[in-house]
Amino acid sequence: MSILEIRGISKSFGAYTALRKVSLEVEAGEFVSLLGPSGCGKTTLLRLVAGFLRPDTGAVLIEGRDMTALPPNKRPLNTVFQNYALFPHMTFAQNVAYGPLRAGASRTEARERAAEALDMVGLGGHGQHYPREASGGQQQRAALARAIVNRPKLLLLDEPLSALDLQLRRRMQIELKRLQERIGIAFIFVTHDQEEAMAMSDRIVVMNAGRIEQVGCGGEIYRAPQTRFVAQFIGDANLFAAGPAGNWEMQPVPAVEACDAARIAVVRPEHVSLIDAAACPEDALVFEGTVEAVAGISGMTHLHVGVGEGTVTVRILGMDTSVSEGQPVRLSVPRQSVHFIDNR
Amino acid sequence: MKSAPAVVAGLVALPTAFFLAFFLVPLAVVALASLTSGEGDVTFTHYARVLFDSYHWSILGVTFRLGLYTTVICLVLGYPLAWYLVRMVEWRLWRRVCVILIILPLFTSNIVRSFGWMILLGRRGLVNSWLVDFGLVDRPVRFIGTETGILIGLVYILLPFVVLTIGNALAKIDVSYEQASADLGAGAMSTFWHVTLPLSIPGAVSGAILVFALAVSAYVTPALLSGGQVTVLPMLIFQQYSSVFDFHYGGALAITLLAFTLAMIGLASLVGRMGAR
Amino acid sequence: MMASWSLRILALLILSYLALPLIVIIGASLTTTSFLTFPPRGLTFDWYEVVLTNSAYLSAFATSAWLALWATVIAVLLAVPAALAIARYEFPGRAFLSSLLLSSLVLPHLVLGAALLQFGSMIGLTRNFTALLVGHVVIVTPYVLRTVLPLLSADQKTLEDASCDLGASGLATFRYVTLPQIRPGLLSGSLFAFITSFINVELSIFNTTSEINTIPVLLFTYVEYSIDPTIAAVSAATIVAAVIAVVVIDLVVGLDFFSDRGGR
Repeated sequence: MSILEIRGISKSFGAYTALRKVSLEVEAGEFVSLLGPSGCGKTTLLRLVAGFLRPDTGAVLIEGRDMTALPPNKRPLNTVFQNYALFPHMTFAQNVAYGPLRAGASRTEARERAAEALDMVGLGGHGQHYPREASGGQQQRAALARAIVNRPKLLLLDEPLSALDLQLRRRMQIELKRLQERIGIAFIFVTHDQEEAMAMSDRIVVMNAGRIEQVGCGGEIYRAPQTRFVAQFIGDANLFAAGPAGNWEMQPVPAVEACDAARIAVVRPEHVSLIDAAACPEDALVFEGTVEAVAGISGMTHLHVGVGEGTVTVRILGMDTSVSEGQPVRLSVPRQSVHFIDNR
Repeated sequence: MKSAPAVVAGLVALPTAFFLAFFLVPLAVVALASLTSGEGDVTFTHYARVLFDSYHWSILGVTFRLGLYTTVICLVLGYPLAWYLVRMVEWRLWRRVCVILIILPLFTSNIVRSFGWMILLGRRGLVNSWLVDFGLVDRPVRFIGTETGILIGLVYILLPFVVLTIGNALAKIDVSYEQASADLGAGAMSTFWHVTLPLSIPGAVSGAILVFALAVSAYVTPALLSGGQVTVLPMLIFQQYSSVFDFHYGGALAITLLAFTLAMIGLASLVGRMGAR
Repeated sequence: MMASWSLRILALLILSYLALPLIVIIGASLTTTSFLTFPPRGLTFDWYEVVLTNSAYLSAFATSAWLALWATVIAVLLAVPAALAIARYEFPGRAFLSSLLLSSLVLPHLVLGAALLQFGSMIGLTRNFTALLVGHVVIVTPYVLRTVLPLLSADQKTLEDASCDLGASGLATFRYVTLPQIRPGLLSGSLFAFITSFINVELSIFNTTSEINTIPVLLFTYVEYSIDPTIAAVSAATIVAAVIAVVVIDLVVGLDFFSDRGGR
């Protein structure tokens, strides 16, 4: 039985529809990220699971029990809030002991469990600090300790790392992942940062405009996007207008959204290579075009090549100085690295 | 789990009921009485009496004049004091003492404060003995029982409101505007006239309207400092309710004062909102 | 520089204008003469002794204190739930409720007093403690509401969400999270409410009698007939109480209004 089951949830705020018939299952101990641009509905979904919002239709089940009508304090899950929401009038230790005390633990027991949870997130000995005296990273850890001290079945994290600077964020990603593996609680992690989602998650749920576009592990979503949105949102992609199945004719077009082709072909920039004028590779598609722009970025060379009416992006390892703007080139794409999606 | 409407109803039921019963309904009763005759017929005679009779005109005139003078003097005295407190006082403790001194009168009864002026403004009071000692007048000036005496008392009572509103407006003006003005070559005076003063005007105007509304509805200060010689609208209202017991005519007077005050408050909030833009 | 100094001197003069009547009252209460004079002649606390043996003053003081205390307690019980509803929920009539509860702040108290007298005489609620109390609750509730509302901000709402998420019931959340956050506003608002009730004349004057009277109304009637140093002694005592109250509020919430300039 899955730890969490979301069944056909819809939610509107007035005329604005935030979620349309969203369904999802999360297994025990799993790390699932909700990834999408702002306004895609990921935070609304998280608040519905936590119980701060009620769905218009659909149900939330935890370990098979229907929780849709229960308030947050009756649900066996906890949340790490985006701005941490640490109680400013309580020390870290008091903040962490708050959950056990409300659950009926004695003062001694609550204090012990709080100390244990603070140790677990690397804040041992910082229990007497007030939130305002601590750094952002420490506040983040304290919020995490407060959320796991009650041993919830499920932990919800609402962009918990977004307030930290880049280096600290990277370190916290690794720590968070390790902690999750150690305590074995399922995490639902909301983020708009795809690298963060890729680095931490067992599965990623890509959301757009209130719908789930695709669910899968990071590699799957990158390799085999199921919708045009996923292809464009995750990493860089060259999109071609393509014919029906069995037909290998592909055309780069200026705006793939506007074309009426049967299918869209997706080719990642690193799978396109430059070939000699005479070469005739097997099992590959060949395009002829003109270099429009060259840029060297972090040891890679990015080429924008005009092909027909569209543009193809090529990414080559190393600093290639042999090509320059305006130069005619031939591009080759191996057939096995072309991924087709239906044009909907 | 209670739904949100049930929670809201539980929270607001008592406050709403209390204020309907002891605030809105009583005011409605007054409004109704002002529009009916003793026999219960609808009539506008009470308002006609208030608005078209020369005795009332002179009382409304005195009330209005005192309100206007009080407002102008409060502004003239309040702006520099607010400026001094916000811009010139460097020593935090002294500013705190000054703020306490400004707020303190708000914490003492009108009666106590006006009483102080009765002592000061009497024929043999401190003010008169100073005036005579410094040779400014030959013989003691009569303050009690004149509009001047009432004016001194009203300004004293309402000055704190102006200082607080203007002070707040001045404190909210970001120094970077003035720094920008100085950077663009404006002198201190020029920066004040073209930048600081225009930015503080909404605060000053809303403070002024508040003071005007409070001045025309003040009862205790005029009653004590008038010595029975000057009558203002609130004194007339009190008379009707406490000794004449004419609730219809008194109601018309009360509603006139209320409408006037509400119009002033509405204007003040409008100015405040325009300032916030 | 000249302008700056003349402004300083002007400000000090205006400040002395604000302090003068209060100083005069305190001074006049210490005179040995049987009539009021300032500066006082001699120095005596006899007039305070006279006040303390005068049963009219004592019972008026007790009435005022009880009235202010009950008015404040009821105001808190009305204002806090209303503030929670206004700050936390969208409901029809929300704007109406907040203006209903706040507007007595700006309406002439004399008109309100007259209205309550007329309405009270219709329902048989005049010239007793309850009649005084309902009026005072109406005028002091907005003071509590006004100081509590700003403390129930959106940040505070997130803290309540966090508390609920950690398993606290609505009541526990109020007790452990909301109340500690609004406590400073509640304290200063209650003190404002207490004082506003304690010093009121315009509202009380309609419903007081010779049996049940408040200190300010009693002073008002005395001053209209005769002026003697006992009045100054009572007034001076209320001034001293006000000084203590203002200093307490300053220590609790800080009255340093004017020091939050951007960029300083």
